[in-house]
Amino acid sequence: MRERKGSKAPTMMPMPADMSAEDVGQGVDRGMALCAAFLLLIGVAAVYSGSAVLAAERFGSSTYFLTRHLGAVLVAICIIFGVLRCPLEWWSRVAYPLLFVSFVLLVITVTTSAGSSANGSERWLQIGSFRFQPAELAKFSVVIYLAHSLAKKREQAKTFSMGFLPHVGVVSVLVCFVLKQPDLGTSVVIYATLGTMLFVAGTRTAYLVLATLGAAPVLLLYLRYYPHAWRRIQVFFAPESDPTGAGYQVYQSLVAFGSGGMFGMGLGGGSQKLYFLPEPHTDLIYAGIGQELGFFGACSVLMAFVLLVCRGLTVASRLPCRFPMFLTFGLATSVGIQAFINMGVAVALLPTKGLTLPLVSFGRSSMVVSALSVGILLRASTEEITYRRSRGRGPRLK
Amino acid sequence: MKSSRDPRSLVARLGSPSAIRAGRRHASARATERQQGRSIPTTIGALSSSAKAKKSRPKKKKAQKPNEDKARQGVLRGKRNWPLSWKVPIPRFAERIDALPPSLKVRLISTTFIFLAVVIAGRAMQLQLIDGERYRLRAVGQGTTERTISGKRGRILDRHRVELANSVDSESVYAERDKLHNHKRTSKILSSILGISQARLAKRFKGRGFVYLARRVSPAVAQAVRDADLKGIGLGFEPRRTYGNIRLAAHILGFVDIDGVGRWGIERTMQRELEGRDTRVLSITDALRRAVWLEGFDTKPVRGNDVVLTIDRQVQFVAEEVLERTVKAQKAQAGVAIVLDSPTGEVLALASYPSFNPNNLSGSNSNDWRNRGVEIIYDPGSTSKIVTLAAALELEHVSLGTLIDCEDGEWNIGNRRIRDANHSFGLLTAEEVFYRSSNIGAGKIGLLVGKKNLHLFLRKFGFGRRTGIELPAESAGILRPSSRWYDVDLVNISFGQGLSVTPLQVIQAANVIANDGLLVPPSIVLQISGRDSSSSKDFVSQRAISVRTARAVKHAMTKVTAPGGTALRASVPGFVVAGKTGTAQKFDPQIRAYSREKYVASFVGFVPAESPKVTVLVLIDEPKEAIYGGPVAGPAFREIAIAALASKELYAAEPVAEAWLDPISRHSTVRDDPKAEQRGNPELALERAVTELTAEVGVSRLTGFDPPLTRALSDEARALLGEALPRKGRPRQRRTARGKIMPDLRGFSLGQALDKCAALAMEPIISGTGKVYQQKPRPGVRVGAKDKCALELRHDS
Repeated sequence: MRERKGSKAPTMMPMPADMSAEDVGQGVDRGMALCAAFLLLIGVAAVYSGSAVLAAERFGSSTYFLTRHLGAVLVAICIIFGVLRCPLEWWSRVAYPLLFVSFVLLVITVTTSAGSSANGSERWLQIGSFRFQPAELAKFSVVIYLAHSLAKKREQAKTFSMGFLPHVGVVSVLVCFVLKQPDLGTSVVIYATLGTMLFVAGTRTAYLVLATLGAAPVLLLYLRYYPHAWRRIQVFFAPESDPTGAGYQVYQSLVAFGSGGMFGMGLGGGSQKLYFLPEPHTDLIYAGIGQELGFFGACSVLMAFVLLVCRGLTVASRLPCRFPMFLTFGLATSVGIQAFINMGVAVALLPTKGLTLPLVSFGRSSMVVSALSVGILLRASTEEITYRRSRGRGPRLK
Repeated sequence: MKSSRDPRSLVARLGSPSAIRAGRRHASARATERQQGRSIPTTIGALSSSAKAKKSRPKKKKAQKPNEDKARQGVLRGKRNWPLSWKVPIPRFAERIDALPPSLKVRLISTTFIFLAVVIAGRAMQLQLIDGERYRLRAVGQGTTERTISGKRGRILDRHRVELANSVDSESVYAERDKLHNHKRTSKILSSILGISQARLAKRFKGRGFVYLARRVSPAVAQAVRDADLKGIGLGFEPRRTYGNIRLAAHILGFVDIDGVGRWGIERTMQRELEGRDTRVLSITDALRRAVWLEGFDTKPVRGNDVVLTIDRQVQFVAEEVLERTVKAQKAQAGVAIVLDSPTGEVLALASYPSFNPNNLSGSNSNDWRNRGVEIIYDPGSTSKIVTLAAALELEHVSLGTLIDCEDGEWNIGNRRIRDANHSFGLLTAEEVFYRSSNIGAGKIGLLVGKKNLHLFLRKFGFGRRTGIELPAESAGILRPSSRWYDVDLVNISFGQGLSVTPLQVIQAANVIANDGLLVPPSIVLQISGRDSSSSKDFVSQRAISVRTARAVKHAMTKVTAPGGTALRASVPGFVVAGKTGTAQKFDPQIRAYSREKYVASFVGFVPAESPKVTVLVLIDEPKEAIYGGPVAGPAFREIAIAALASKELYAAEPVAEAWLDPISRHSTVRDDPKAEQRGNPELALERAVTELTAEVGVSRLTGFDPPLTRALSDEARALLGEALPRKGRPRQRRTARGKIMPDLRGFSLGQALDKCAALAMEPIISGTGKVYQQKPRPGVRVGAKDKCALELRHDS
């Protein structure tokens, strides 16, 4: 094992932090970019198909959600190109400010009436006409914070007191507020990201496992405290036991996804979005895609995510410096976890969570954060390519 | 654990944190691996085995923790009997994973992602490819519903396309009981809106599912329910059948049941035409069961056909109005009035009393629903003498001038005594027998005709079978086969007792005469949505009797409304009315005999006699004020006939000479006024024709009872054709001998009777009180001034 990075990484100074925009010209990872573009495109179609009837009914215009989604996609593309020009190292500077802002916003959302509710939970923060979900920002800022902190602590990151405890502590404080909303899905994503990042950073697996076990009773308590979440767990194990009640969502999602067959009913041809499928354009968009595009459509979306995430992870593993590596890794993982949980819910492998499918679902906060993540992943790929070229196709980490 | 090492040394190595730390810091991982005789897995396959190991961790790690944290290796070492063979590998694997370089850890994570993706893809395959069909069926099943869009029921129109029945949209209030919130409040509010008691509503609310609370409510109530916006209470469209003319033609139109299916009258018989065809359409529905998209919606719901009736609303109105007035005046049980368009047999009006309001059935009892015109059967009485006379004339057993001995009003035949009501006729011509309505004379003519032939002609005139009119519950009447007639039956049936007929059969029979011997079945449906109704297309009129016979009978019928006839009051000013009265005893099932108190008084006739336009029947069941057809039904006939003629624009159009206006003086005037003849008065022309006819047929004198003898006599008489002719003039001679005709005063009040007597300058002799029951001279007899007029008055019970 060429443990080049393991031993050298701490001393190896990051890639020239002054890597300029011209360097970006050396190209991005095409596969990743294509995946992102594909997902955005599928998302536009699926959002329109899923929301048109709903929008016409609720807002009198079938394009109500589409126009907003298109706006979000446009913003997302701008963000991606913007972030592409921003060196990865720069993000370490905003790590703490972002964390602080997220924390403050979360506190405001939970404690004040500024938070507006949807589906019985307070997830949005209204500032003027601008409305967004602080939990999404929290997810993002946690990754940056962890990357920064873990990179900074180097070997200490592996210890219990310096590596494990402070990070888990900080993240838990944030997650407490996310859970309070209640947003179990995002909490799970944040914790899972935390776990994988700590794992990669060298924290002992034992600590992580123990922490997970320790969290189980807390989770149970939480579920008891929010009965509807408990009910969701129950119906998850018997989705067809109560198809009109608590199991409705799971059941309809199954029916939607399953009825797609091999090639689906065609874009716009699905029937499940006609109020059978709750949230046909946000949380359960994957079920809608499954119905309208069939097994092929569902698999291509899945493949796109796998490619995006795995490419991101590969890029991360090839990056020479700790912070960019952790950052890329964390964001790829976070996007991947969220996407996989969402898809797992749609195919009834997981209990229902209120999670969007990154890049695809309607949801502007989610879209912005996804764009930031993807932008950073693409930037990472650029830096990786540049790094490799500067080394003359130099040593690979394998 | 693949390698077979001493567990103790492993524990010593892996269990000591310092050793591990040392191993990490100084000895490279590779060195450690080499020591353990293994290399760190770099391939994905090897990694996945590590991943599996990682997965299996959770259970066992718990016990491990204190050991590691407290770093007390001795604890484990001291307990040799621990099943270390499976306890130990766990920390070792964990340590080995921990020892991986970050890049490989990343690969581990990405492999996990790929693994998860495979799981999801597998699940997708299971759902979409294996169970796909099942879910597809479910999606289709819950996403589509077959809806029936019911076409609107057709309208019912009168012959001038005036709407008699139509369907309007209305709403029904229903409850979805599973969705009800707060029963008490809901029932309280609904009770005030719908006017249903709270207790009843509460009762309705029990149970599950759908229930109607109030059907076809008014728009105001529907709006109130809508405004109340109660959970679980809804409004659904249900067409409501409305009859805009309220009671008008209720028996004809009938009604529909709560589900809009015709249950009575034309609604029932024309159900197939009227009902809107339901179109079943497949609609894609959303989760709220609202139709989003209708597949194949181009098939429009088919509206039911409009049924055009032959009814004339104006005539119907008059018929009903007059009938009701007459029935009430006579304190009768019931009544029927029918108006036919003579040439076509189309029913212009069909009134039945008592009546009902089809818009509100609960306000009537089912007895009122009976359409007596086609349902009730009764003994026709003298009206059937039309058939008897026609048969005899057709078979040439008699001519109109044939003299018949009427036995001075009492005739014993077999063990039965037949009387002529209030008459004691001597010799009468067959024509007189008819228009004076002598039962004895008719009986004798019937004997002449014979059982078989009389039965045959009764059938030819349409008795004993349904007319086939498009109305429900039509009765066929009872006409026994002639083989089962006794001799008495023959006589009885000859004057209309002993067979049962419907009013419609009687008017159909009378209409045979109006149509010169053709039986035209009555019909009530004119058209169906523009096309001629099938019944009128299949319309086949059968010849019952020859034109000549029909004309002769018609002539006799005109005498009925002439002075001397039984129904002078049925005459219509300006027209010659041909008709026949009927006064039949009702069969009383209680005494199993014909009642002496219960009668059915009727009059059937057509006008104008020379070219009949309308045929009218009026029937009064159990009149109390008078019993005879003439006085009871005659005036009603006149009024209805006038209305019917007016509808044909005949009544007002015909110039009416002053002299014609008085029905009493009319006939004498006509006869005595040569100018009338010059005017080409049709009646006179008719009479001439009839005279010629009877001259041909000849005269026979009926003396005895023995039919063969009578037959022989008649044959003989026919041989002596010219010889008999002079006798025919007898009634006329008698008529001309005196000045005026004795009117029928029966049924009149004393005051009216006295007025009439005064008008004739007769001297009244009154006995009894009440209304005129009997009179002398008899009606129609020529009377002179200063003659005495004996009137017997009675109170009808």
